[in-house]
Amino acid sequence: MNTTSYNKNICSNFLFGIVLILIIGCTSKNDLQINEDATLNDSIVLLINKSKVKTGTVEERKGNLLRAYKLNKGQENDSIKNQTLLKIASQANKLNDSIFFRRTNKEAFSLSFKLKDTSGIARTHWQKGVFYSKREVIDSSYYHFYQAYKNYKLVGNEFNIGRMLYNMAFIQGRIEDFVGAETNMFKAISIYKKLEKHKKLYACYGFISSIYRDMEEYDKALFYRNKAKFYLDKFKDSKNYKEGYLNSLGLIYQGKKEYKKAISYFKEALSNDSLYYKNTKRYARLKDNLAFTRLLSGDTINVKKELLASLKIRDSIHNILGVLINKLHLSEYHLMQKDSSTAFSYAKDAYVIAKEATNHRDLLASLVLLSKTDVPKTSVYLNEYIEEGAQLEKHQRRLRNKFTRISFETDEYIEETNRLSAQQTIILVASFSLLAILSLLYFMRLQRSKNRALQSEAEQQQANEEVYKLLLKQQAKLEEGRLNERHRISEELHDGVLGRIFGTRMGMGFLDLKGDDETKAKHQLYVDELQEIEKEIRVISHELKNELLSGKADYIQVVEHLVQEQSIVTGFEYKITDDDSVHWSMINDAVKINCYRMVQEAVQNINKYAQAKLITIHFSVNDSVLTLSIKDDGIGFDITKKSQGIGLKNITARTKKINGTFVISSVIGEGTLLSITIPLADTTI
Amino acid sequence: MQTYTVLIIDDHPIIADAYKSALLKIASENSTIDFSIEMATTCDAALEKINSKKAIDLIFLDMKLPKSSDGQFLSGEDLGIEIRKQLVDAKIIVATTYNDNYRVNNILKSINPEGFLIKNDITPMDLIAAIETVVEGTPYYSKTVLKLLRSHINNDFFLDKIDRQLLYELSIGAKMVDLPKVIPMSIGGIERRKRQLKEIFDIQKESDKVLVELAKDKGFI
Repeated sequence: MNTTSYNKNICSNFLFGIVLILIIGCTSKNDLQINEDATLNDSIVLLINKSKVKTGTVEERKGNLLRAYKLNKGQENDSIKNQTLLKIASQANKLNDSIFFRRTNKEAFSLSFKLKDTSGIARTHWQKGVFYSKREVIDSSYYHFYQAYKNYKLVGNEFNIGRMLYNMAFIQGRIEDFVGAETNMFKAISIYKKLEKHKKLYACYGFISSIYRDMEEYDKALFYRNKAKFYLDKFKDSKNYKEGYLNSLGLIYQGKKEYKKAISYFKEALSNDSLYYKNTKRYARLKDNLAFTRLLSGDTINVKKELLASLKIRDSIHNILGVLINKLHLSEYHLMQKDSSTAFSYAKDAYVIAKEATNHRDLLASLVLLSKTDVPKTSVYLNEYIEEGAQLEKHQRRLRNKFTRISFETDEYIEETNRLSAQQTIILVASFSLLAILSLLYFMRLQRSKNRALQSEAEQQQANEEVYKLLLKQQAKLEEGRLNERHRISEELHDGVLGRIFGTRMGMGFLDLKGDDETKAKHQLYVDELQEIEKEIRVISHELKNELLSGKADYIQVVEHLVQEQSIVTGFEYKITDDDSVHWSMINDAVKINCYRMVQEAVQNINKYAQAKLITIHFSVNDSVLTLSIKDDGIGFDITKKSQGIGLKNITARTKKINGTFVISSVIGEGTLLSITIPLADTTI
Repeated sequence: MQTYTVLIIDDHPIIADAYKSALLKIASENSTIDFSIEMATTCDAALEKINSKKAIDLIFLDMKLPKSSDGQFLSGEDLGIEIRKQLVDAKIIVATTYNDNYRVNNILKSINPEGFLIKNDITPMDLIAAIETVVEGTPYYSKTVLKLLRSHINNDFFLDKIDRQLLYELSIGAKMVDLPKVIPMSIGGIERRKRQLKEIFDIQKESDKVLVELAKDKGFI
């Protein structure tokens, strides 16, 4: 159920949002709307205020309130509407229009629920509490005050928490649950003290005092009454409460049987001339109390007259409970005057009224009086008294139990909710952490596989480089062998063959030939030819040695082989050259390997993107700096736009590794030039 | 009638025979001269003759000889130095197939032979002329040696033995790292020498190859 209402809330919030957007969407209309709203709100407030004016008839006031309600009903479901609705319900309660109150309060409750307005919910409970309290439905009243209290606690409204505690204590006092009442009242007091609500504190202490008076602990009652007095002096309109205070004080002393003091306090209160007009009810009460105290003190003069005057006033203002007490007092008076029949009739009246008003305390008092005045039926009355007392006791116990249950059940409910929400939290946290752990595991696994891939890649690269190193070494060895062989051939030609031809030529030259001139000339020709052959062999021998000077072929060959393999893919032409200044045998392997790999990367890139027809690769050394340039005549690209691909990144990484620098320039449609410069450390030259 | 004692040192019998033919031809054409010819085809045989204290007037010396059995004499050049020590009056005619300036220069320095023949330069007539000239007491250099000497006279600068050796080693493609094995210097010292050589030739920025070529041009190697 919770979830569905929550969904409804979301729904309404969503609708509310849409409405808001619509309102914001049309500005011209918007201003108008606001104005209309303003006037409408004004008129609603006006109508509510009209319903509060006490000069109008009840029907008129109810009519105004109904009109206010109807106007408010057309409003948007927002917090303003809710507040107005709450005011209307409160006013309906004050006007005792129970049906209208129930309707409006219920609407206010559901709207508050929709708006998640906890204060509003508390307020509806409070009003309901007041409603039931008025109608003596004590348990329901207590329940609603308690609910209001809990809700105010949720929103932390201290003042209203205090007020609810006071209300609950008041109700508990009514069923003589004095302990509960006192506990709640002191809770309220501690809150009021913090907030410095003196008037409320006065009321609280006054109430505690009256509890103790009811329990006939007059000293304590006096103590708290004085505390109340302390706060009474602190607030502004304390004058209006002075008589009430004096009355209570008088009653305490009456209870203490210090009649003189009691009488003096009652008299002091009555000395205020305007009291009759300002608070007729209190005036009548004081008058009654004064007369009855006097009666108790043994002074019967004018007591009957005073009591009757008070009764008359109370009758006129329909103060039923006052009338009831008055009649009891009159019965008491006549009993003391031994006028049993009159006493009986007053007691009987009081009994009837008390029964009607379900005022147990006074009902019991009337039964006592009846038993005293109607002697023949004494036992009947006493039986009823006992029964009534027992019933009252039972009733009160039941109510007390109910109150305890209400708080207990609520507490239990809250506890259950807490438990459930805690459980929910645990589940939520657990699932989140599980998710987090799972994703962590996943990422770790991902990372690990990535690392593994990187590692294997690095290993692969290292292996490649080792293979390449071996390749180079092999190439170098091959070259060395080749060189050695050439050297050997050269030496052999020079020292062996050449020497022997020389010897032969000389020998032939010294031969004393016997023959004709032609033969001799021919002989000389052959000898000269031998000398030419010698020269040729010498040149060949030298050339064989001379080529030893530039042992460059090996590295360039390796690079050429690589480029040649790549050229098969897109069929580009290539030219690989190096300056005579580059002595490959003197450049260390790291530089050579990196150059080789960079050429590989570059050529792969060219194959992939450039659509080149010719690639020119050139190596040169200047001031101990090796420059490798790789040029293509492809489509080129915008260097600023394109983010670096893996190929260029690798080239950058490689140049960094050997402290080189790397420049790329490209013209769209004309091609790209990679220029890599590598400083050669002195020892490698 | 004067008889000259001649020692021919050459491992090729055919060449030794050619020398012999030349000597005989001179003797047959000049009645005042006669030659007493001895031959040695190895270092050891030659040393034996040299050490015999018998006066020798003329020695034909080949540069390319197998080394002596005791390993002391590696080439004709070493033998030539020994001859100069033992036989002060002997005239030496060096005949070699080497025609590179470095070698020629080294031989001139170490042996300073009376006759210096580059085998390829000469014809039988040249050989006869050379023998006659040397016997008369005048040095005879064949044309390659003369060319070298001329270029030396034209050069202003002087290169010592190590410079020459360095240039020679570079010219035959030796690696820098291997040079300390043949030149008694550290790699740094060799580097310095090389830089100095480049300065002398005014080619500071050029490569070793250029240096070697230039040195060849100038007749140092």
